[in-house]
Amino acid sequence: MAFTFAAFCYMLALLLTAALIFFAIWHLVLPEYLIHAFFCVMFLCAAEWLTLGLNMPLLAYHIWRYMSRPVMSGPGLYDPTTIMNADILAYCQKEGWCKLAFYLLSFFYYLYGMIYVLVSS
Amino acid sequence: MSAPAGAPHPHAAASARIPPRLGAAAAPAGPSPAPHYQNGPAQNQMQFPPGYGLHPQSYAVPSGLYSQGPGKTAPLPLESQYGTDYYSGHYPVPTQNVVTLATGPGTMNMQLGSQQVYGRGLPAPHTVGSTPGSFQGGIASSASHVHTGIPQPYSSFGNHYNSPVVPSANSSIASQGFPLTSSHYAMSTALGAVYPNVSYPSVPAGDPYGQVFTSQSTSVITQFKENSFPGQNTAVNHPQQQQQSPMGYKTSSWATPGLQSTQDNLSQNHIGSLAAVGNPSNAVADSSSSPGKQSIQLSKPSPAPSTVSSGSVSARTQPSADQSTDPVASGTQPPDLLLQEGMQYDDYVNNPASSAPTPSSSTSDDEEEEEEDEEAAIDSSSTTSSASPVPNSFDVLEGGSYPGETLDALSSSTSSPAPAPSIPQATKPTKPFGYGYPTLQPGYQNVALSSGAQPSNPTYSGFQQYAQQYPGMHQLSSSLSGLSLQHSSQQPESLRPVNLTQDRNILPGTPVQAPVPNLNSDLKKLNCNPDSFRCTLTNIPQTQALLNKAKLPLGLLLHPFRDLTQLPVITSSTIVRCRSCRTYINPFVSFIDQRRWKCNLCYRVNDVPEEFMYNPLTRSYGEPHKRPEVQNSTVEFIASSDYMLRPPQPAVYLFVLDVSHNAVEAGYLTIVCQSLLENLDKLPGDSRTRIGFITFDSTVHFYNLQEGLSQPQMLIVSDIDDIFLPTPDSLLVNLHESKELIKDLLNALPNMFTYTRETHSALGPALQAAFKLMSPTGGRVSVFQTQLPSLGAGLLQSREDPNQRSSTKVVQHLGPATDFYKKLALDCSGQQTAVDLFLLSSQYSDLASLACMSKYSAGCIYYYPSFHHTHNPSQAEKLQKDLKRYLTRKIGFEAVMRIRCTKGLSIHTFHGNFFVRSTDLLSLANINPDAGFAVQMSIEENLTDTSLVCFQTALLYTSSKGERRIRVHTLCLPVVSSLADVYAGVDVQAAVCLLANMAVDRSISSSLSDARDALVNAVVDSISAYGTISSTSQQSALIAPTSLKLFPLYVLALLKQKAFRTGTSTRLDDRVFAMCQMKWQPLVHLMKIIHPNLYRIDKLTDEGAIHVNDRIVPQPPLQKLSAEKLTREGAFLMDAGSIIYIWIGKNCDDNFIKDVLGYPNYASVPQKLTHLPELDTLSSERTRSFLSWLRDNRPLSPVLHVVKDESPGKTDFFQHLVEDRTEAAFSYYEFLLHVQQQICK
Repeated sequence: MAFTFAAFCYMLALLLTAALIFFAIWHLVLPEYLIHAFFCVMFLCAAEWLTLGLNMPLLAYHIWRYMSRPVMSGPGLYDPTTIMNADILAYCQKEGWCKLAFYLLSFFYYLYGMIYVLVSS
Repeated sequence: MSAPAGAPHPHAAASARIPPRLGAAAAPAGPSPAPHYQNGPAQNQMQFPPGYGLHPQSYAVPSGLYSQGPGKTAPLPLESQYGTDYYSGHYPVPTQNVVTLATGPGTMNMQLGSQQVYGRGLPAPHTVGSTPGSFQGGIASSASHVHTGIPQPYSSFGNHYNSPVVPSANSSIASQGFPLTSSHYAMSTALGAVYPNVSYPSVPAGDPYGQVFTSQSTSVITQFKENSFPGQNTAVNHPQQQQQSPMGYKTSSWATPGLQSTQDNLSQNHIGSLAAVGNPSNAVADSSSSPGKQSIQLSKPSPAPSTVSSGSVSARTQPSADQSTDPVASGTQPPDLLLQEGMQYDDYVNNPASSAPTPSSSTSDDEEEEEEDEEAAIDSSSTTSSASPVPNSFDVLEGGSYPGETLDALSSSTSSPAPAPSIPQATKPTKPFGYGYPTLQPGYQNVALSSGAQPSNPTYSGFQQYAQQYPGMHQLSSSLSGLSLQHSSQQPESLRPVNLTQDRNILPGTPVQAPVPNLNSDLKKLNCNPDSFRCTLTNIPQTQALLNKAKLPLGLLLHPFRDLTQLPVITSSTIVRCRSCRTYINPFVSFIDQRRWKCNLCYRVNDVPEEFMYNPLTRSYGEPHKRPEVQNSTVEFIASSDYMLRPPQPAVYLFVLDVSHNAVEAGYLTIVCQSLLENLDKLPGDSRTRIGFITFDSTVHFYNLQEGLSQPQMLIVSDIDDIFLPTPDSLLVNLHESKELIKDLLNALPNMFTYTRETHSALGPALQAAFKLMSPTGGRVSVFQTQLPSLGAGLLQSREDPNQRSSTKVVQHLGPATDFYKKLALDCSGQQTAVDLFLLSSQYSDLASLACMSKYSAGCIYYYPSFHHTHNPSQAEKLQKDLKRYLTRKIGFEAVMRIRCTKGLSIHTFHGNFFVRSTDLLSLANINPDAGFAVQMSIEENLTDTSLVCFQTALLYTSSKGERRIRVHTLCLPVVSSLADVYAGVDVQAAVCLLANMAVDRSISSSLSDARDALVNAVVDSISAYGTISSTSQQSALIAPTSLKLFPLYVLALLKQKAFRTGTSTRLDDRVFAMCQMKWQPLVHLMKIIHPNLYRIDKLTDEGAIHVNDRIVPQPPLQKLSAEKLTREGAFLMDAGSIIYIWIGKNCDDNFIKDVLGYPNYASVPQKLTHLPELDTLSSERTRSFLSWLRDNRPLSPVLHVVKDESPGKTDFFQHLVEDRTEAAFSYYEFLLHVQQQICK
């Protein structure tokens, strides 16, 4: 049993996911995207391929989402002039709920992953 | 209001930064812009004012004052809150610093005096080296003109406001009380005295410095002294004025900030003067503040006159026995009111109230969190004190349309509108106004079927029997819907199947009318006018599933601020609203008993306030259902101070004019200035109205119009990267006080830039400057632009590829290239400023990006492609007429609009020009009578337990007279449960307009081809869905119900619009403008654009003619839009909304050409003819009266084109013939076949 880099990654991801759960609710888009990308890179470095694979779709979605954001000069994702349209609002809310579920699940997965790595190494 | 406070304005910081910038900018700024303007003796006053460094200080002080001042002084918490939030952030740089110490090096401060610069038109009174004496003369002459025009706006704009503002009494309050103007006012009093010795003698250019310096610095001293004293005076005077004015909240609310700002001025002056000259008049501020406090406590008298119907109230009185109950209805008597009375208030006159109910600020009633954050969240909604038995602070007055009358009627001291000869009123016997007691609300009674006739009438004597229960209605509704088809007269007709492929003449001969909702006839009478408020489905489906099955869009088309000839205006200290959903009481609520009413939107049971029990129309007590609010579905309330976050703003107009070479070449300046000069007195507003001008090319020019100057003063800011206001307080000036200067400027402007060679356009910086200038008050910015902005922030590149204009595939660049304009618009919207864009360009100007500045700030967009004053006279004429309308039409400021609907319905998307602040609230910086809105609705919960749904729009705005008003429209529609009924109630025009709006959104967010497909699919889906329920199962035929028979035609017309067409060469700007119009035009005008009306006019007869204002207007039948109808022997008129064509056939009767056009024969009619001569023949008279009738029906006067076969306008004319085939689009018949094919697939 040793505290490996992989275990460290899991532990970090565990903590950060807890933060992400709140960000998904509050729609703090940029921090959320950055944190998620950050621990994806960490997993890449730790060669945790399965975990990385699980996170890839969301990462790709984030990138796509940010690329296709409305024309705006500053950072941000939501256009104040259209966000109140019911369909866009509903979409954003649904997106938030889905992410919340994903982060909750991944929270426990990272917990499991961390213990597994700690125990197995 | 969150917006003003939420957008912290970096003004203080910015101005603190000014000095270094100025210094730095001096060198580069000098050479480029200067030469053109400098050749005269105008001197550059390049001083480094000592005052600048101290600006931060002067900011600190006022904000300190604000934060405590209002708290102590303001009577209303609201005000104090507002005062701190709103003003402290934006308070502009003290006038005096800047005016006199003026502009730093980056700014060239030059005078218009020099003839070389401003050309001959200018009546320049001074020559070089003129003496102060002559200068004074100039002032005197101008002063004599200043006030002449003041009363005029009242008469010309009275018509919808029938202004309660009494010019004499109020103007004094307004002028001194209103915070932001007060500095001007203070100055203006002083200036007459100050300026002669101060100001700007035209010094020979040789030696500007020494002399200017000295004169300036002395002027500084005198001015400060002078200034502070008048300021003090005004403060001291306040108590008196308030006592005089019986204006209730207005007085107090205006006065308070006024005082604050006066104080503030003083302290600012104070600091400025300390900084500049060390003027030690410390005590002034303190001394002035104490009268301020006193004065505020003095305020709050509110005599609230009540109104009574005058003698000539409509003769529709009926015995109260007219009530009918419903024999069919189950056991209990359905309690609803039958509220019948149309908008008959035109004859009301006010009656002075007997008592003066002071609003007692602590009321049990409602936490007014009202209309959006717009209203203060305080509780002073004030029921009247119960001491007086008759609750009476209530006014009804006529809705305008008789400005003369209103004006005459103005008595000097009441705040209530139209306090007409009130003495006779008091004694006059009141006419029974309503009709006694209500019968049932239509949906609730089965008798509704029998076209509203009430079968039996046991007379009602009270409300006791009422025990209305909605669940009961539930059962009735099913029978209602089942029966409605057979019984109502309208529905079978609208469901009659029409075989579209065989029936060639589907277009009716008369203009299509909005379908009438299938309601009880009494509710029909009460329902909102379809011109203001329409729904795409006049029978609302019960569930979303049913709506989905019908494949039709559900939505509302609104024209909320339409010019109305009759509008009941209600002044009441309590505006009765539902306590949970805040719905305004309306004709469709039900009174459970005399003391309670049930909201028709959320079904909450509310109490009827004591005051509401009294009906001022009948002067009777205990008949709340006869109050005008309950008798009219369109009413206007005069709102109390609860509905304000800040004192009502004055009307502020800023004109931002492009003066680059391109603009001068196009020659629009002359037209704009001329129109403004002509309409200066007709600009809506009161004595506080302010106006300002900015021009721009590669630099931004400001105009100092401060009263007292002999000449307008032009200030050039060349530092466009960090724009600042050279003299913030004298750029927006009071219209009445500086009228002479404004006129001078308007006369001079067209010639000032004649020889300019500046081709660049710094639109972005000019807009930023405009925003800074407007942000303290809000108002309207009118931008005139003639080319692509090429400098500074917001510069744009040409994105249009001319080769792609007729591409059938992808149309790109429909969206904005940058979000600069959008962000600017949002900022403006937050500061209650709307930006209206006039684009007069000959080349591509990226309207898609520029339009954002108006779209999100609730402005409007006008586009004049290939505008040129001589080469394109019809455009020039159009601009002139549009401007006349634009400048003189009604305007509402700092408006919000909320749309409420019955529980179960929800708003999906809004369309129009506005900013959506929350899911049902639109923030409209300005509202004008020509703006339309569309709203998509969705059904969230099943509407099974109700048989009626209601929609209510409430538009809260500040009128140009500084009154807060709420215009409320309520629409009531039946709910149906069968698909056939849904189809029976389709309003096809509304549906097409809503689809057009949705298609615009789709083409911007997705692609044009997507939008086109969606439009075609809308037809295919709805007709095939109808096919599934229609009994006739002919597979080969294309069957549609009568109500939908025009649907394919209109959609085809939509596909051939500039906005959506492909394959035909369309310039990108034209396309984008067409899209903007779809979003913004109200339904009636949009329909004409989509599907023009074609009439044959060579044989007009009086058959079926209507009489309008003693004129006989012939009504020729509509022709279908197809070339087959155009015979060579005829002459045709096509009314396409903004343009009217008269097409003359080759073999047209010479008599017609001679009699109407004034030419001997066809060949001699010129190619470009835009006017019909006034000839004294019968056919000419008929044609002209028909034409002017068409023109009168719309706000923007359309241009007339007479089209001959070989004239250039021919293609334009023929492209409106939508039923014909073009090389790129289907003919109508082909389109039907296409639809049929799609259905069969």
